Amino acid sequence: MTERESASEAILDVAEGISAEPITQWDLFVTRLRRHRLATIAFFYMGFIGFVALLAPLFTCQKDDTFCGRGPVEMSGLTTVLMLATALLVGYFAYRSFVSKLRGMAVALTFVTVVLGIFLVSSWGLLDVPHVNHYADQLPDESGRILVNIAPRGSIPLGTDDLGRDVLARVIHGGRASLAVGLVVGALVALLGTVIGSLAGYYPGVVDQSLMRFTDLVLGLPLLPVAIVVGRVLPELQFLPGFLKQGAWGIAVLVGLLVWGALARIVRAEFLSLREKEFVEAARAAGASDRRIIFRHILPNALSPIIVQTTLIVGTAIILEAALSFLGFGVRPPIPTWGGMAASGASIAVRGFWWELVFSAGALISTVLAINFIGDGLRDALDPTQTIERK
Amino acid sequence: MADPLLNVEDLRTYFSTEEGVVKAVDGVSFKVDAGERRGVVGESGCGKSVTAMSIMRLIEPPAGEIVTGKVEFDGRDLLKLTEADMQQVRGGDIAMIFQDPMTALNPVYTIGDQLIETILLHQDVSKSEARDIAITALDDVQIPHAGKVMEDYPHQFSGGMRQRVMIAMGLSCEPKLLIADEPTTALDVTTQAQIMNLMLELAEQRNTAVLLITHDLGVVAGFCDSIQVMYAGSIVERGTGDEIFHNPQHPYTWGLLGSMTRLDESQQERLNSVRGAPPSLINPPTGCRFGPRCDFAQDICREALPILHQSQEGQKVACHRSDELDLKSIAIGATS
Repeated sequence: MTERESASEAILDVAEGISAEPITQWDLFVTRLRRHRLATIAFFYMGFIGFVALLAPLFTCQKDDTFCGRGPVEMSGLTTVLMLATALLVGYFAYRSFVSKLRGMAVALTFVTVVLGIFLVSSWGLLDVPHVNHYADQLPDESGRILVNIAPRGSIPLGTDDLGRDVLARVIHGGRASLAVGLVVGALVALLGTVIGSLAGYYPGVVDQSLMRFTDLVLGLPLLPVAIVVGRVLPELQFLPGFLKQGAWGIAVLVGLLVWGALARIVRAEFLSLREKEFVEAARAAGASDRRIIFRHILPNALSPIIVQTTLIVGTAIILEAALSFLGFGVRPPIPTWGGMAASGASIAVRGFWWELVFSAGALISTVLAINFIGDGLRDALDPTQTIERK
Repeated sequence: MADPLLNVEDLRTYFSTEEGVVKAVDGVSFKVDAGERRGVVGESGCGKSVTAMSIMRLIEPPAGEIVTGKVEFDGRDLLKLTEADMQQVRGGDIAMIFQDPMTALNPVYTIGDQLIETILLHQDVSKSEARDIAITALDDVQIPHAGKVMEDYPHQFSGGMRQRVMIAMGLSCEPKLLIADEPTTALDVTTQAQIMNLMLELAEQRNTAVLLITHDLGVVAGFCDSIQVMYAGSIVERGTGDEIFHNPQHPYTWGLLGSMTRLDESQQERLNSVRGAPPSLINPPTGCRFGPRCDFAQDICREALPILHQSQEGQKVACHRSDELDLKSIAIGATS
C-alpha cells in the first residue's frame, strides 16, 4: 500500500515537473490560431487596413494649410512609403499583441481602445459632412489643369478617377465606410443575436415561440430590396439624428438590424442543447439563479460559435454595404466607399481606365476574404475538442 | 422521537406528453431522519430520480408538474417556498450529486472557480475565505495537491476524480441532506467502492443524511441504514437493509433480489429475471401495479391498489398477499 502511494506520488512529481507552467485555455487558443497560417496573415492584414483607414485624414491631407479643406493634395512617394511602413508595423503589432500571452492581452486591449477612440472621433466629423470633398481632391498638373483618368505612376500610385481624384486616397477613405459598417454590424448582431437567441433557447414555450417567429420574419425579409427602400428613405426621416441620415453609420445600423437572424438561430440551438447538460442541472441544484445560469454557465460554452458566426456576418455586411453603395442606395457620393467606387470605376473601365474598379474591388474582396479567414481560424482555434500535437 | 429531517407526503409529479399524462411519481410518502442513510432502488423509469428532482423542485414546467404533495424539510414546506428561497435551499441545505461526473462540471471553468462559486452563493464569506474552504473540501475528498488542482479544468480529471470534486462541491456548504442520484453508475467497479466509502465516511463525520438513488442493489446493501423499493411511481416496500435483503415481503423485491449475483448463496445456473416490462405510467394497470408481472397475483390484486402497510415481519410493504406468502422459503425461479 505504502509502496503504491509513493509510486503515485512520484508520478505526480514528474508530471509537475513537466507542466511547471500550466497551459491555459488562452494558450491553447493562441497556439491553434498561430498554426492557421491564413488566419494569421488575415489578422495582420486587418490590422494594416484598420490603421490605414483610421488615420486616413492625416496621410492624404498633408500639404493642405487648413486641415482637410479643399486644395491640391498630392501623395508623394515618400509619404506613401512612410504610411505603408507605419501601417505594416501597426499590423504586426496588432498581431503580436494578440498572440503573445498575458502582457499581450493588456497591450491588445489598450490598442483596441485607442483605435476605437481615434476611429470614432475622426470618422464622426468625416462621414457627417457629405458635401465637402475634403479627403481626395483633384490633382492639377504644373500648369494647373485637372488630370483625370491618369494611369498609376510614381507619385500617383493607383492613378486618378474620372474627376481627377487620387484613387489611393479614395480607397483609403473608402475603407472607413466598410470598417464602420463592419464594427457597427458586428456589435449589433452580436448583441441582438445573442440576447434573442439565448432567451429563446433558455425559456421554452411562449418566449421561444414569439422570439423565433419574429426572427423568422426578419430572416424572411428580402435583404437587398428592403435595404434599398429603407436606405432611400433614411435621409428623409426627420426624427433621426444627423449622423444616421448620411454616411456609413445609418447604413451600418440598417444592415445590422437585418442580418442578426442567423446568429440568433445558432445561439438558440446552442442553448437548447446546453441547457439539457448535466452541469446546468448541477448548477441549478447548487442554487444558481436563471440569470446566473444563462450568463455564467451556458453563454461561455456557446461563445465559440457566436464569435465565429459574428465574424462571418461582418464579412457579409461589408459586401451588402458595398452592394447598396454600388447600386446608389448606400453611402452617397462624394463620400468614397469601395462599393461606390466600384460602380463609378465600372463605368469608366469599359473605356480602358481599369484602375479605379480594380483597386476598389480588390480592397473590398481582400478585406472580406481576410475577415472570413479570421472567422475560419477562430473556429478551428476555439474548438475545444481539437487537441494540439506536441512537437 | 424528534421530527424527521425530510418528510415527503403523498408526492405526485406528472408529466404531460402527447400520448397523455405520465404519472412518474404517484403518491410517494417517506421520512428521512437527520444523519440517516436511505437507499432508493428500482428499475429504470420507476420514478426514483423524479422523486429526487421533485424534492429539489428541479422539475421544469410546463413539461412536468408537482401536482400535489408536501415536501417538509427542516420544518419548512419546500413546495411553498419562493424561487429565491428555494435557490438558497439548493446547494445550501440540500446538495445533489449527479450520475455522470463527466458532464456535471462546466467545461469552461476551473475546478476552483466552480467550487468557489457554490460556496459564495451560500455562505457569507470573502473570496479568499471561500478559496480556503474549497481547498479544504478538496483535501477532504482525498484529492492530492488540492491547492494546485484548483487551477485545473474538468477535462484534466478522470471520472473518479471528477466525482470526488462533485462530492466536495456538494459537501462544501455543509448540507443537512445529500441526494446522490446514481453517483457511481458511470464509474468502474473499483472506483465505485472508493467513492462510496468516501461518501459514507464524510456523511458520517458531518451527520449528513443521504438519499442514495441507485439501481445497484449491491451498493445499497453495504451503504444504507434503510431501503425503499420503488415500482411504477410508488413505494412498494420499505425497511432496514436486513429486512429487505433477507426477508423480502413484496414479490417485486423478491424478484429483484433473485436477479442479483450473490457470493453468499449457492451458485445458480441462471439468474432469475422479473418477467415482463414495467407498465405504462400513462395508463397503469388497475389494481396492483405489479400485478401483471407477479407470479402470485390473484383476483384481489387485479381489483384493488394495495397500500403501504406494516407487515408482520416489520417492514412496510404494499402487497395484498404479503402476510400469506412466505417468499423466503420459495426458491427463486421455482414458479417460472
